[in-house]
Amino acid sequence: MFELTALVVLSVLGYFFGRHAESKHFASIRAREAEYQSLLVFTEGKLPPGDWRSGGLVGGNVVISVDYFKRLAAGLRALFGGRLTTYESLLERGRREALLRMKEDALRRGASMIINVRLETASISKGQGDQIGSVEVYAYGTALRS
Amino acid sequence: MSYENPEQPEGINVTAEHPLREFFSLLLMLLLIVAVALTVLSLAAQSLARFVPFAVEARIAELLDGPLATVMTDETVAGDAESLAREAYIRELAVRLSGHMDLPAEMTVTARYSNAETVNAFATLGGQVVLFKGLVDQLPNENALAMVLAHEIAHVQLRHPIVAMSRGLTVSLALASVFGLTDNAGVMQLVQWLGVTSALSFSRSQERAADALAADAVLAEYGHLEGATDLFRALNGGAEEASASPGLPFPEFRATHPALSERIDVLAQRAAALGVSGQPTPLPW
Repeated sequence: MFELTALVVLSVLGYFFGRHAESKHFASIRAREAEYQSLLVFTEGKLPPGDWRSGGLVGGNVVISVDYFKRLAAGLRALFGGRLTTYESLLERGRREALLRMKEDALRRGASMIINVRLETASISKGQGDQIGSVEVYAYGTALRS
Repeated sequence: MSYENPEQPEGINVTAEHPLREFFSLLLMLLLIVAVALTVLSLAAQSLARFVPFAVEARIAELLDGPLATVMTDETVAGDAESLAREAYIRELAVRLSGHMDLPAEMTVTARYSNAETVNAFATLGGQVVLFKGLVDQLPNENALAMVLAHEIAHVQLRHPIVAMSRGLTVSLALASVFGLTDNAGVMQLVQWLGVTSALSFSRSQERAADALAADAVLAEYGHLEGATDLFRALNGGAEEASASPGLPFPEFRATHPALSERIDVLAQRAAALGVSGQPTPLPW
C-alpha cells in the first residue's frame, strides 16, 4: 500500500512539475529560435560560395531529466507498443535546446553561419534499472564568419 | 543551391494529444486485461477446487489451524457444563441431519459451539461448522437450530469453503507474483488470512443452494418445515447484538447472505406448497 501511495504521489508531482517545466521550456525555445533565426545552420559540410573565415568548432550541450510521470507513462506504453510520446517531447526539447546553445556559442564568436552541424544523443543513466533516466543532447558544428 | 533556414512548423515531433489521455487509456486497458486474467484464473480455481479430495481439504485445515483458532479462543471455546451440553446436543443434531444429506463417505462434519456473543454461524475448511452462542440464544426451537446447522453442513457438502479458499488464494498469488511479493512469511500470512475470510465469503447463489439443501434435510428430519424460518427471523432481530461484539474477522452473516425476507419467503412458499404442518420441537434450554 505504501509503495502504491508513493507511486501515485510521485507520478502526480512528476506530472504537474514536469508539465509546467516543459511548457515553460518550449515557450523559451520558441522565443530564442525566433531571436536567432538570422544565424543560419546547415548539415552541409562544404563551404557556401563567398568569402568565409572559420569561427572554429561551436557546440551546445543539454541534459534533461525524465520526470516520474513520463517514465510511468513510457512503462505503460512499453507493454502495448507504439509511440513513446512522453519521451518524444523530451528529446525534441533536448535537440532544439542544444541547437540553440550552439547558436549562442557561435553568436558570442561573431559567427553568421554554422555548417556541418551534427547532433549526438546519449542516455545518462543507461543500465541502471531503477534510476530515473536523463538524456544528453550535444549539437556541434563549424562556425563561419564573413 | 540556396542557403536558407525556413521556419520549422511545430508539432512534427511532439504529438498534440494530452499525455493524461494516453496514460489513462493505457492504464484502463491494462486494468481490463488484469481483470479478465484474474476472472479466468478465479473461475478456473473455483471449478477445479471441487476435485480436491476431502481428505486433502481436511489436512489443509489442520495445517492452517487459523480459521478456528481465531474464533475458538480460550474464552470462547465450549468449556463449562452448559456450553459443553449445548455442543453435545448440536453434534448429535448434526449427525442426524447429515444422515439425510447424502454426504460422501469420506466427508466428516465437525460441529462446534462457541461462547462468543456474535449472532453468527459459519462453515470452513475440513468440514468444521461453528455456531455462536449469540445466534443459538436467539433460536426459539430445535427446527431453527437444525436449519442453521443443515445450512452450514450443506456448505461443506457443496465444497464451498475449499472453492472460496482456492479462488482467494489463486487471485492473491497471481497478484502477489505480478506485484512481486516474494516474502514467504507474507505469503503464509496471506494464506492464513484467506483461510479465515473464505469461511464466509460465499456468493449469494451458493447461499441459496445451501438453503435449499438445508430445507430438504430439515424436512426429512421433522417431516415439516415449521419453525425453520425462525432462524431468519432471529437473524433479523439480532443485527444490533451482532455489531455489538466486534473483534471477529468475519463479515456479518447478514452481509453476504441474500436478503433475509427473500429467504423467509422462499422457505414459507415451500412450506405452503408442501401443505404439511407440524409443531416445532422445543429446545432443552
